[in-house]
Amino acid sequence: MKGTRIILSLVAAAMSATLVAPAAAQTKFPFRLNWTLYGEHAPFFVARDKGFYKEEGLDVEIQEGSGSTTVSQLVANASSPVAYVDAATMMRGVGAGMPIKAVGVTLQQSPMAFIYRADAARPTKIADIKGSRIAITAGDASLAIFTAFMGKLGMKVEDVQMIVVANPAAKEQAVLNKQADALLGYFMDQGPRMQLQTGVKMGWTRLYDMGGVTTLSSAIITNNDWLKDAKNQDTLRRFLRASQRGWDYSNKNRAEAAEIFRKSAPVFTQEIALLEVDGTMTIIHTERTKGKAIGWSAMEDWKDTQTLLETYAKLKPQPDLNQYYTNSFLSEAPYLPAKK
Amino acid sequence: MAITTNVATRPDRPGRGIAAWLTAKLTPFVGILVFLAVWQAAVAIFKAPAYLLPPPTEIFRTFFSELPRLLHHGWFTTYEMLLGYGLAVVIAIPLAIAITSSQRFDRFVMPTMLFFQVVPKVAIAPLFLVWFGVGTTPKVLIAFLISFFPIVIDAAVGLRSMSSEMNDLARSMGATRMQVFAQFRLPTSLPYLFSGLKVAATLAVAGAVVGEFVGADRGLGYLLMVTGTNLETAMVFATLVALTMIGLVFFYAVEFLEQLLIPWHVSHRVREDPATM
Repeated sequence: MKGTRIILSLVAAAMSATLVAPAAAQTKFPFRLNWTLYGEHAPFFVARDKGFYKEEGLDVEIQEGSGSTTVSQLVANASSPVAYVDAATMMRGVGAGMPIKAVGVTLQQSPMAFIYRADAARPTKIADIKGSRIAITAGDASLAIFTAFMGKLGMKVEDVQMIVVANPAAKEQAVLNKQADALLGYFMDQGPRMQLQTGVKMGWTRLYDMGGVTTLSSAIITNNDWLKDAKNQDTLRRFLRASQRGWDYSNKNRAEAAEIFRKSAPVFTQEIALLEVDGTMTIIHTERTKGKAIGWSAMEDWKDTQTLLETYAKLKPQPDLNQYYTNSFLSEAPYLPAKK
Repeated sequence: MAITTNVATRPDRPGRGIAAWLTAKLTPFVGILVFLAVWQAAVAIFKAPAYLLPPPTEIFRTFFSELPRLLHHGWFTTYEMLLGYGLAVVIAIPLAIAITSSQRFDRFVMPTMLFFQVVPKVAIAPLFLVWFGVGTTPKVLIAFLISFFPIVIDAAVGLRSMSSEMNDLARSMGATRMQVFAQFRLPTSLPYLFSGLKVAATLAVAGAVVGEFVGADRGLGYLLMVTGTNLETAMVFATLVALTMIGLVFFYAVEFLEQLLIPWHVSHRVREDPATM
């Protein structure tokens, strides 16, 4: 008797759900991140959990990734039409013929850094670099900028003992177990997180601080063929607007952003999540884009990045920089849904 | 009818044999060439971007221009593979002898051995990285683990394959246990042992590369990961060609050894082949 009532109420609930659904028809929208979760991703979770995506009629599913090269390939073959990857790595993909393009650049300076144990800090200066054992993950964003970095300092990648591992966690283990001196990672990600998870005190030196090398960094990219469809263009515009709103909100409410992020990434403490969000927000603009909408990138910055990678990392240059990016799907502040 | 045609085309018939022999030898190469031509044409026709599928000509050009790099890394992979394989042979054969000599020992070690065979190597490789670092040891161990089992099993089957009549005959002629083993049981087991050794030879190179995939600072597996990250797809394929060559050379080396050690078996098989084809 009781069972029947439960089933009946379930049926009723299901019916009402199907009745309500058409009114709030949400477009399913998968969005693949560059990496496993870290603080830089908080704004996307803010946009999702505060309902910014929903207000745009989007049901966004945030998926983890395993490195910018790998994720770029997923975008190129359209299995993930929209994703979050390192811009320099994407440019290599464009050079190799991938049909992909950046539609918003959220990190405009490179956070790439040597991350090492504080009790065996190396390399902290240029003289230390030669012969250091540096761990990277195959398919991640580090190799493109690291090649340029070494080139600019008059060295080659072969001058370090590079240890390539297959998964994100392995390069952290290599440093913790002292099989590598340092890993290449983001100063606001691996450093604080490893310290938190293991209790080992970590230190880091940004490539920018050591060799003045920076590139445009994390960007939202899409598949060019997918983008030809007018319906997809509209969906993308809404997704970007809500994402910009999420970034804007996170920038202004960092503690809350960290808190929201932790609901999806419970391994983080509030302290570390906040540290990562704070670090992220220091590099969302360059000198040229200060005061512009979030994600808006300047052609000169693309040019600088291309020149750097072309000179030192064998990037095949594009005659037209618009091959790399477009700002035309971004919205202006305050990034609210368009009135119908 | 079929048998007579086969006999007629046999290479040992003088005169007509040479053309047939040439055709037989060249057919596989023609097959490979046709495959490469279709590939080349497909890339041109469908305009496949280089990051997805480079044309064979580009791969061979890269292979030769990057040969020093391939040799450098190939040497490490070969070294790891040989060491792992050697270790497997040295441990597997005595173990097979022990297993076939004692039923109790068989029951004692078999579950553990099966466990190590069944557990996916790709899954335990990351643990090896944590335990043994990024050096040679984890690669050798994975090559060892992956090539160990086929050798033990085939050697054990081979050692058990001698008929009891043969055993009785040897014993009735006054052979000691040792003599029975060395002069009867061991030779009988060689064909089986070698099929195990050959299977293991093809697996060992895969084992070394799995080890390098998990974490390495050199070797062809390392090269695959780095060039893959740099989207140098032609180089990825060139590395695969190098890996395949190492695997093939090693396989044929073991087969050559087989021909040297048990010529009676191999020649027997080869002579029978044309008639059965």
